[in-house]
Amino acid sequence: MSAVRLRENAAGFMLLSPSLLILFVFVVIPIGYSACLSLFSWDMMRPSPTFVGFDNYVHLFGNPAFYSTLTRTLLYTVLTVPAAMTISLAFAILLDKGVRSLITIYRTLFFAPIITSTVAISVVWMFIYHPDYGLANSVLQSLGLQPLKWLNASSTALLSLAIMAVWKQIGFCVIIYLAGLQGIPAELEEAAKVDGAGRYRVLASIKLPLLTPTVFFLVVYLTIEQLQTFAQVDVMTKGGPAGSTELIVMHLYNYAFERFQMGYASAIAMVLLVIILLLTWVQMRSAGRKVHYQ
Amino acid sequence: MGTNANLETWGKPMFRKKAEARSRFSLWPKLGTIGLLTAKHALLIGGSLVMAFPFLWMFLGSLKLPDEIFSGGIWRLPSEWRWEHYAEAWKRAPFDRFFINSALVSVSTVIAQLITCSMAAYAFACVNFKAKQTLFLIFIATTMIPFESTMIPSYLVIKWLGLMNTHLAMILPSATSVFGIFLLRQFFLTIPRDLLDAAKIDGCSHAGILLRIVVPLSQTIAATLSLFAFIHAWNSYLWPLLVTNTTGMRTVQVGLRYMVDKELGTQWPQMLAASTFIILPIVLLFVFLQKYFVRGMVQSGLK
Repeated sequence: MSAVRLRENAAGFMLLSPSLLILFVFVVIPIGYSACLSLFSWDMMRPSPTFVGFDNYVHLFGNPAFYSTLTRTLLYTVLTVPAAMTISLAFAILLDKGVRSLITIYRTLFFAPIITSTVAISVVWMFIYHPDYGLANSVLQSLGLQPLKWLNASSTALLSLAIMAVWKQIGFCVIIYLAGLQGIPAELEEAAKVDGAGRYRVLASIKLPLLTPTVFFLVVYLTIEQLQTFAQVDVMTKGGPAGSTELIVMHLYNYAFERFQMGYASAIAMVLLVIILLLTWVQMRSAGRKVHYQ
Repeated sequence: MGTNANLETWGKPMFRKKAEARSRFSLWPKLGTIGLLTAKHALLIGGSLVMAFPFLWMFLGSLKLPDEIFSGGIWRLPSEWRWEHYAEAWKRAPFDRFFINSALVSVSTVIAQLITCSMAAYAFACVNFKAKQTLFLIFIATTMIPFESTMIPSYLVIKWLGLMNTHLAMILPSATSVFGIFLLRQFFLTIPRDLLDAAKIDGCSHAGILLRIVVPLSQTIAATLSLFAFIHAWNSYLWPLLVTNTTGMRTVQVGLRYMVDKELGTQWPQMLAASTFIILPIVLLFVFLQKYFVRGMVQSGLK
């Protein structure tokens, strides 16, 4: 018996070893390493870092640039998440039932933005936002409005990035909403209809309440996604003009790989980690309590 | 006699029902339904056009003359279709190198993930070993850690291993995926225990069960995982940007980004052509493998 036990244990660890090794080298150890590094000052040129205690954090929280980066990232998230979620909820309800082949075509088109690379999409949107010849301005002009400078003005650059992010995230939200809608048992809807509920009543009293766990999941998931925005900023604005689009990952990247202040950058990485872990924790707690299940 | 009476009464309610039905579904409600359907499809067509338009515009723009892009009005089709912009864009940067690098990295990542994830998933689903629950929790916990907060040490690890500017540097960190392990494990758990037990009694080892029974049964779920791993590797940008530093090692995404820096505002048709051909492999994969994609997306969202 114990020989069998031993063999099972050995087999288990053998099978896990490749994944375990990679996760330890590239996730578990780096997290500890990053936490330690945030207590040091190091420019990568010197062979060994100098211990500075919590100095990096003191500088970080005393630095107005860091606060404005955080506020900007938060603003970008607030501009993006609710808009993407509302628009896609409407489309998910429309896409829930209907002629199969047509629905498939619509779905394909809705999903296109999420599967294609952010870099390529950013090039197209830079063209859309072109101040003289772009699509965005011709739409504004056809509505009788003044053209904007979009990515080239610090007042509109962040908004421009947010509009593109909404466009890009809609497909993902639609898929998740559809999964939620299709998880609602058909009997509930039928029972309500037998009791005389109409289409809108079913939507308002059955479907939407049962979608709350999905909605909550999407809020947290999308917020985390938006906090990690990097590629579009790097391609389209590089944080400019005048720092108006410097989001937190861009800030972190600049400190680490442009200024080579590895300790300070690690402190930023730790703050980002704490924010994301808090959000995940909130999500998991509410998933345990199940916001609203049948 | 009785049957005749029955026939008479039998016909009447039927007729009455039909008449009732006719009045209930008279023209007005029907027009209402048609109106609703039209509104629904108008919204959906509008929505999908907004979703698809940037792609269409990118494609048409890539075929226009530079002057025409800026002065010909955005709604116009190209007056002559300049397919040569594609060849020009391809030659303007070493896109053959970029494509080879991206393809090599993406395909290797897929193969690596298929191997490591199926091994780990099998261990979690079908082997009873010590600390299984704890290890599984640790695995799941690592998905909460954002890549950005581990990127500096990961970069230092790659440097320390002497792997800077190699394909391996781009492959290694994504050679396994907890999402993949989870996806496969969920599927492996649905394979009937009896099948595995029978093989065990016949003297089959774990490796034998995995290779001869579990793997052949898992082709669809493996396709989902492969598609996801490929799309992710092909589209990734920040990590390849960090660990490569020569033009010859760049991937298509990083290559396109450098083209933007060099050519901004001067060569729009070529830039749009380059954007088109770097998304083409993904678009083709997606069109043919859509159902696998949606399944994986839902799994990743609801884990």
